[in-house]
Amino acid sequence: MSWIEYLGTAVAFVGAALAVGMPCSGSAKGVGTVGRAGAGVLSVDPSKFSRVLILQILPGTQGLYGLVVWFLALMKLGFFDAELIILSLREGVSFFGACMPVAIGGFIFGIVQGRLGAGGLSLMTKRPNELSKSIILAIMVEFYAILALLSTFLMLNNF
Amino acid sequence: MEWIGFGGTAIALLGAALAVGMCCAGSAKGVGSVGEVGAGVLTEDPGKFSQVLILQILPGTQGLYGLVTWFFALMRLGFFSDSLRALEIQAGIMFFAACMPMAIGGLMSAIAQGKCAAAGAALCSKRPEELSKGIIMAIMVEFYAILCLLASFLMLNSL
Repeated sequence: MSWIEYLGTAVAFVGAALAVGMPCSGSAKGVGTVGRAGAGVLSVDPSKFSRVLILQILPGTQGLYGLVVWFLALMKLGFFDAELIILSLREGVSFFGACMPVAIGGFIFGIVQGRLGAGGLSLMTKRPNELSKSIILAIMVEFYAILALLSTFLMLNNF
Repeated sequence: MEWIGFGGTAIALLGAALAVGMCCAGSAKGVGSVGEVGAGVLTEDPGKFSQVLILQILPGTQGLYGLVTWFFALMRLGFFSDSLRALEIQAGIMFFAACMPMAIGGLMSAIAQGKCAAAGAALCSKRPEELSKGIIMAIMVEFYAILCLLASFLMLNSL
């Protein structure tokens, strides 16, 4: 069973891959939800395009957080240097765990924020002056995504 | 358990297969949902066929990205040269992980983009001059598929 001792780096790598894949999925779903609602708004009033676009961008930040974490994780693994670092299985699982807050959080927050953005669109259709309020409501969710990013970042930083 | 230490190539091939399979499944679903709405639009006005077709193609790109990832992964595995690379199990898991961003991200983003582009087709039936806005909103989703492709490509490139 000697091979299992060297699985750590591979497990850490899986964590890094999930940290970019899942937030991007969540962001794609969220941006898509706002876009779907936005098409309805635009069919009534095409001049609201810029405001729709602002609300559509909001769930898109999760994918970028995921990309940042992925990059940081690969850097910590020595992916961009000549040699990968060798982690024991225990360290590899810790590394995997450190990537999870952003992977899970980004996926869920992207979807949730997309729904909030779509709700904000219907508010904005009726009262165009209240755009800022719907942005603030959507940004409340962003706070938790940033918490997840922070915890992942601090955990990865120790490797 | 000696044999299991050399099962890496099989795991890597599994990752490559999932990258193309999941992306194509997502694209098929996305293109299909635009087609459903598009058929409705065309019953009203068959002259809008070209606009509907443009919107229908948009969720189809994820399948191509998946195919590129698959091809690249097989190339890195030496599938097209004389002999397959013999990977240890840890290298195989890393290969698998490198394919995952595209597999997950492609599946989810293609479905989300399909729904968004379907709403764009409905928008274009009411206001044909606003087609570009529908396309832009669908392309916002594309961005996350491209991020996933980038992540998979960079990881595969160094393995």
